[in-house]
Amino acid sequence: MNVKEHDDWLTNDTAAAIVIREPLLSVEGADGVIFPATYAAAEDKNVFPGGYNIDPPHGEKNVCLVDSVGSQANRIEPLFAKTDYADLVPQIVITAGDKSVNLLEAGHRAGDAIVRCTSLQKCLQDAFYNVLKGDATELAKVSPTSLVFGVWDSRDTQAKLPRLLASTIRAFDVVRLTRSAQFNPAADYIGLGLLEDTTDKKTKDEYAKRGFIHVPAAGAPGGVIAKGGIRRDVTLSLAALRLISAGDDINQSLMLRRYVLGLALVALTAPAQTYLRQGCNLVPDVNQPKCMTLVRADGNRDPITISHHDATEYAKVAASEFGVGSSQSVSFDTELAKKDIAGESNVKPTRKRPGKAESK
Amino acid sequence: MSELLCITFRFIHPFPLFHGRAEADKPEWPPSPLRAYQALLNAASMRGRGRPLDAEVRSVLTMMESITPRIIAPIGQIAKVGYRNYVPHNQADLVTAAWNRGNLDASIASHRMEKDSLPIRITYDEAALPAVHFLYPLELIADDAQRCLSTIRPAARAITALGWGIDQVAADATVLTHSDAALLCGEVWNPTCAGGRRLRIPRTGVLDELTFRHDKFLHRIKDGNFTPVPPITATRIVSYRRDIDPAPRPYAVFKLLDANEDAFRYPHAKLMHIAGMVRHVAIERMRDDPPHWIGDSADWINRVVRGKQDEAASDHYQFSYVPLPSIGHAHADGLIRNVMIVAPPGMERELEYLAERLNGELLTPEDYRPSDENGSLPPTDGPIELQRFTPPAKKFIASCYLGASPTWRTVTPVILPGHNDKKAQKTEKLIQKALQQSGLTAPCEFSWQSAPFLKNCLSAHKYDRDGRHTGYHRPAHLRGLTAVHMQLHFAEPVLGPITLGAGRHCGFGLFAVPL
Repeated sequence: MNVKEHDDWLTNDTAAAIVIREPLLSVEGADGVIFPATYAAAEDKNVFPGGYNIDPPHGEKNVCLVDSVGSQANRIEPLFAKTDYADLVPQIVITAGDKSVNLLEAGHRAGDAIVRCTSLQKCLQDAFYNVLKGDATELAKVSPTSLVFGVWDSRDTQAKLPRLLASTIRAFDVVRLTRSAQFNPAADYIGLGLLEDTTDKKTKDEYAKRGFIHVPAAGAPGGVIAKGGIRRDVTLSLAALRLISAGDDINQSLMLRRYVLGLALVALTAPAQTYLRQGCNLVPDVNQPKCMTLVRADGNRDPITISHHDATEYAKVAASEFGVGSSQSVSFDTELAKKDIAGESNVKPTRKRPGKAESK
Repeated sequence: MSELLCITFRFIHPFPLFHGRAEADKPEWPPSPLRAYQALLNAASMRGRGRPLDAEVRSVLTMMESITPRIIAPIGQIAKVGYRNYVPHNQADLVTAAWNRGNLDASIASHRMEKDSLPIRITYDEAALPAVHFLYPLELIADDAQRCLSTIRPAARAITALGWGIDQVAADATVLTHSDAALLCGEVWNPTCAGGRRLRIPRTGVLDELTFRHDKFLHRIKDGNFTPVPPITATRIVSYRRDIDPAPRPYAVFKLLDANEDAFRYPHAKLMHIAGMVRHVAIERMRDDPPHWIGDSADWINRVVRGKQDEAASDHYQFSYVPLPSIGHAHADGLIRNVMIVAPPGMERELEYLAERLNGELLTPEDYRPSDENGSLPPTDGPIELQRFTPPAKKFIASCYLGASPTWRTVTPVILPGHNDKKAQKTEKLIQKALQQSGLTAPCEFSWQSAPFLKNCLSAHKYDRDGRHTGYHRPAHLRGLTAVHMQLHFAEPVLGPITLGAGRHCGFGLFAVPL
């Protein structure tokens, strides 16, 4: 594997992105029912009443969001904790009481407040300050996936790095289904005189909640049939990748970018997680192979091919050249927590205003 | 030949969406010039993170501050439904502290906040990536086009997103001639004086202010206290209109006053009389004092002021004299107290010239008779004085006749350019013809009916069931034509005044914004 293979993407600003379109199928077949993600109603229910996100809500020509960017990122990032890829990134495990969390699972990655009361806090704070000065080396040594999926140190330095990888699954021209059900109590509690009969709605609702009476449930979301197919779209922004550097050191910057590109290519080409949720098991459509395109800054698009095997090999060589940071296990530090609360730690408390939410 | 600096944003996601928000958190389309400028500045700064902005880049960005660019964008439509995500607050330290205390039930799931999405769906085809172009006149930025391009292009190519972070783009900068720019695909959005979409654009000082705000953002949490980042002020709002949207027509509004300088009222059904009287006075005044820049004034008066057209001419390039019925609330009487002169687009100067000379003029009804000296004969109505005024905001003329709305309804019926033979299909064709003649080329849906939409307005029928004359008095040349009340619905808000049909120059086919 030649680690210089993709250097043109890392140094020349003509390449803007790599895009993958991957047709998917329900495991039941093309006409199988799938269950997309459901969403809560918006404050104004006229804008969105809740349920599936199907736009427009009526008519055949529509688009249904099956899995959002944030959700896809949550599924892809833990890939680097798996045995085959675990050596590509440092494995940082944070232990608190009887629980332990891999930093790869933390919602805000290296910017997650989970590290605030651990020995990693100072290290990551310094890494983010270096990012603000144009050097992401230290961050790549601790949390390289933060460079792939984007990060915002919202609780401390405010350093931000853009997302390189975005993936979404959508279904097209869907037919919405509903389902209804009927709960039957184990015994006729009222008929047997075990409970008092009533016409009071409040009492009836209480009976229903406790399963003492028959409860019909009608019109609940029953999945969709995707007549226009299901597609996973993944983009890798090379323009954002070129914004990562190791200060003024050109060679070190190139090695850093190769390492991050390797990780991004692994994530980009890795087989997608098939089981999204109950009733939504999606596999690649073997009759329609995925297509990969290199998008140029001037809008031209060239077909390219990078297999997952090649991407992994490239990532291994690039990681070896750059030097993967050491894995470590850190514990929740009660003393640091006390200092944090007392405002004596390196990071001042910010609980007067909670950290702003950031989607993963 | 003058050239243009073109900053292009191409949406690379195979299903392109745009999540950027405008004022009051409303979906924004096209992306505002301020957004494009911020993206460019951000990319330029990120390329040299930790160092001051390159002097040449800074110089170009400073010059771009005060330019209002033209925008070419694909069609964007607000999604019919949005969705609500719940995203985690960055408060996992509270959760781990709870675990450490032995509370293993603590979960980050209880530290979440809602985040609503209502994106713009961008129309695209497979042949090319959907692109938004911002066109800046190059002569206002730099003398040397190639040097300017080599300065700004690396920054443009470093842009990664426009809108939210998930709206990934491939950006570029190019230098185009005007003929190159004319070949770009998409809807052309130009700054306009009225109507259109309100977009934020930068103004002088925005570069320094954004740099200052970024510094404030980095230090917004200090000593445990949160210091809000000050809002951006070096911006202004400019209205942008697509070139396919109907151009707003210039107008001048007059009050009708009686001899006591009170509002003069004229019957709604006879509004054509007011139109005729105003037209008559306009012809007289222009004969006495024609605009000096008009070559053949007699011909101009005949065509534009009087409205006598060559039969072969398809476009009626003339002033319209439009009496304005009083509407705007449930009990409005529909009487005529005001009149408006509407000019074709581009004739602002001629209209202004005419309106200045009509201010204070008297309209004299044909049967006007002053009281005789001994008072044996009572005076008939009139004369009526024209007094020019600017319609106050939020009153019925400004809001109903001159406002912007996607939906418009007739106040006076549209007289179709032909007879419909009582066939719906023919009516539809005649309406399409009327829309074309009036210059309303933007796509719209329409419906029609005979009954008026407003109280005190009259049916479009000429005769009642007993064959007696009913409805509006019409000029002789319009009596044989079909009239209908109509509702128009455009995809975008359209700015008034709107008049339609064969009688549009004398007060028929006047539309108002539904209340």
